[in-house]
Amino acid sequence: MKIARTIGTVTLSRSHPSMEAANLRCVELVDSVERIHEEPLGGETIVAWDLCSTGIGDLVALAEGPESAQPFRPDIKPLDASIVALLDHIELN
Amino acid sequence: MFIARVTGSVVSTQKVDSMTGHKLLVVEPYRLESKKRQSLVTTGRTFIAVDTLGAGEDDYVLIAQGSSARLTPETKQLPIDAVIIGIVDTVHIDKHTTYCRTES
Amino acid sequence: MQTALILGSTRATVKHESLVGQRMVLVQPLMLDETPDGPPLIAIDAFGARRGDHVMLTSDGLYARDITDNENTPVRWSVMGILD
Repeated sequence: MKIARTIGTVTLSRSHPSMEAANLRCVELVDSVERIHEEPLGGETIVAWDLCSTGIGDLVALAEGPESAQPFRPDIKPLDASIVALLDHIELN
Repeated sequence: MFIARVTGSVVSTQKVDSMTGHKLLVVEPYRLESKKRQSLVTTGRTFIAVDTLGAGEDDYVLIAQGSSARLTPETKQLPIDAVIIGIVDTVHIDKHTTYCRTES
Repeated sequence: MQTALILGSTRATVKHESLVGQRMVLVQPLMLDETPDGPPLIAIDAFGARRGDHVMLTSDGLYARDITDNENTPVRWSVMGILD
């Protein structure tokens, strides 16, 4: 999992049947812990299925690759990113 | 997943047999404009993606990449690494509407 | 497998069920010369690794499914040992 920050929402007008009722968020990846509290982070904008109902500004754990589709088994969804935890607290000491 | 704009299509006659009948589109990944963060701008890269939804030129689409592209019944057997899984309706970033399909 | 440096830990109340009861640590994967290799990651840790510890990370999904006892876990990275 990577660390990311939720920055927005995406809706679809048409979708693959397995993507119906998708709860999609835009996130930015945190590329170094020094920048963890920096907003905005910039960089690539990734779209992820949100399993944790996160809001704008939240730090999240982002599952990537085929693992991001694992929580939906036995359903199969073409996901390469999903939000799997809403980080309340980060302890760096 | 990432957001991309459909900029064209490709046709190939000599290809892997399993790819017959699948529409291939050229897409450009888009990212958030970094200063004002109120619009989407191209990354300048291009990909070829399989289309299962009937997307057209200039549509903004959602793309799954890597081995996840095979996680649909239509693409399970295909040697692909990018598939269009949605046509984007709206994108809201921070508190702004960054993209809205009906307005453009 | 990869060597990594423990940067700290993180907590979440709302999370995938497979993460309940798992310790989550922030790790920085390292090259052999100890320079960072890519962005920091969140891994699960059954060893109680602390900030500054050098550890061995695995991306084996089967091991993650095993220690979370959950077939549906989205975890990729787990600490598989603390380096002496």
